[in-house]
Amino acid sequence: MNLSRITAIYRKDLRDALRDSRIIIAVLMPLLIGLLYSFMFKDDTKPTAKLGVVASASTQLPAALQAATKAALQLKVQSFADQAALTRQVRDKKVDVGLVVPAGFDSALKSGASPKLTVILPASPSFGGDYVAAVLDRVTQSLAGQVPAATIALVTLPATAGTADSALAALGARKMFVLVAVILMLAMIAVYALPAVLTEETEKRTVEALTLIASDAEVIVAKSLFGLTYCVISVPLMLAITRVVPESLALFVSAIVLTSVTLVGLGLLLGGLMRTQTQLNTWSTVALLPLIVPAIVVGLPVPGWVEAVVSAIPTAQTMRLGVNALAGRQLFGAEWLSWAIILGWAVAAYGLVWWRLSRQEAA
Amino acid sequence: MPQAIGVRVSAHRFGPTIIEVDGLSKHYGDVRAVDDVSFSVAEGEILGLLGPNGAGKTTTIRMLTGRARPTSGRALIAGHDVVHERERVKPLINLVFEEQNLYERQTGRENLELFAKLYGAPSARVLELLERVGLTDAASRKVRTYSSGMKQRLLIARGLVNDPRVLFLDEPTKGLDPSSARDVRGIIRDHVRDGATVFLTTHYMEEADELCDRVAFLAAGKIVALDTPRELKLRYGERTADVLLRDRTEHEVRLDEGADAARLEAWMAAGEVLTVHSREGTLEDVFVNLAGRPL
Repeated sequence: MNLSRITAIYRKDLRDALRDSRIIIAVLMPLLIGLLYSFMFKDDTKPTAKLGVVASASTQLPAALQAATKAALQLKVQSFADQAALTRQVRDKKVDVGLVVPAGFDSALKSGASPKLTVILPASPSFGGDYVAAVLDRVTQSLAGQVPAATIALVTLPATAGTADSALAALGARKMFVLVAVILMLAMIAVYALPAVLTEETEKRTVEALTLIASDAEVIVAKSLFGLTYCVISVPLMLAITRVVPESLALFVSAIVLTSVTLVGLGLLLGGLMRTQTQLNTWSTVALLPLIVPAIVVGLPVPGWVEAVVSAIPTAQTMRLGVNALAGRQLFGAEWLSWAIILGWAVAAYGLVWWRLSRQEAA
Repeated sequence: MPQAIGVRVSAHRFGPTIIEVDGLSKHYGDVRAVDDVSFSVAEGEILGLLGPNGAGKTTTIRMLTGRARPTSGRALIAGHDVVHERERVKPLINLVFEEQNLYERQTGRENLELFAKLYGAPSARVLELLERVGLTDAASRKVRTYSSGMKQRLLIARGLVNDPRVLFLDEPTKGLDPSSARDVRGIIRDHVRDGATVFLTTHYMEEADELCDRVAFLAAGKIVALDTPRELKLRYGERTADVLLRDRTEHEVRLDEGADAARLEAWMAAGEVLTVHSREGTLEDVFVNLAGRPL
């Protein structure tokens, strides 16, 4: 192996990729998806709802509703000057539920009168809106000083470890989806960008010019370094733009590096099999799905055989390790098994690449 | 058809032998792409390998450049076996491919710099070659903006980047306009003048005639003739003469035909001949004679 040849090919690939719109899109698309997820989802582990209130005098009702719903919702209260303004906001779904509280509402309740309370809901209410509307009766009874018919002791069980619920409860939807976008990005680089570079070299026969002097192994090492460089640059970029910081940085970095090495090995295999860009466009999509879907379904309640298949895929194990790293604790157990599965794929991929190379040398 | 199969013609007039090929064959299943080919090339010589599509020209080059493993036989370049000592052979040779396999998103200079680094050539060599092939002004342009002739000149510059002792050229002027083809031939001649050896394949008989010291005719994987163009034309070509008589009639006379020659002799004796233009055979005639079909 000649290091200066590897460096020359590697630098050429990096420069070439920066001028290749296909490669740029392959990296940018997951970054944009991650950014989109980051805006769409919040870090909160409980859903939020907005309560709009029109009240001409002070009332305890909003505070009582917040107390009654705090186990299930983060209820934010916003005051409005009149019913028309509140209705507009509810219609536009900027507010989940609206209440029009008449003057003297609290004292009327306490005196046993039955004051009119107007509740405004949109045509298709959110979970938060429905929930607030459902607890109103109980809350107004309580404000009226009535004793509830039964004392309800609500026991909320913690999410079972190793499930999507536990991950969502610990991380929130935003971090979970950003992690999915990170895995999508690694997969895109490995099974699309890297094979695209290899396939182009084969299709245009530039690789034959390289191997007039360089060995096949030197070309392969340079391409692997190219793929790994893209992974190593784009993952921190994704974390930076989405402002996601893993609690256990060492675990996160180790998981990402090992996954990158493994996926790059798979990408080299795929690139070695493809003769044309058209073939690659077809088959990289087919290769991408089994890498992405398992990462998404990790921890979901799926049949046992599906879980067994999914567990055998390296990206599913990366998702498990990634969740643990982001949470800073073991939400998914048996980390050793995750490492072993990813490592097993790496050994298999590079073993096959080596086998193909030695067959090529003998041809 | 003359039987020239299996001929072994040693190089002469030039330096010591630099390419030695002995019983080289490449079979793909039942197909004998190259079949027991033997020849040698001397240092400083230009050898042309001619033949129709599928004759085995490219396969021969692939084996000599170490990109295909021979089924049997062996080839030495500068005394090194192209299969077992490939790493020693690599720096001594280079190849100008039939396809214009350049990095199109890179500039001309970047293309040459890459290969200069791969071969360990000094970076000054890049500028020197760009100058030599007339691409200095276009050096900073991306290759995809080059014309076909410019790309071919860049390919040749790439082939010269390591100053190879043996330069292989696979159809170096294919698809080029006459002016670009002439430029390319000029660059090849300059390289040979510097003492290098050139092994080229071509479809163009005139090109082979003009450039090559010797040509080998390949048909169905076998060398059917190998000699200097002049010798081949004399041996296998048809000598003719265009005769203009006093009565202003024109006649084509085959000089090797007894009856035609006698006819010409009679016209000469009778003083009827105004002009005679003799023509020797062409390499294409030679090939038709040898292979039984035109190229």
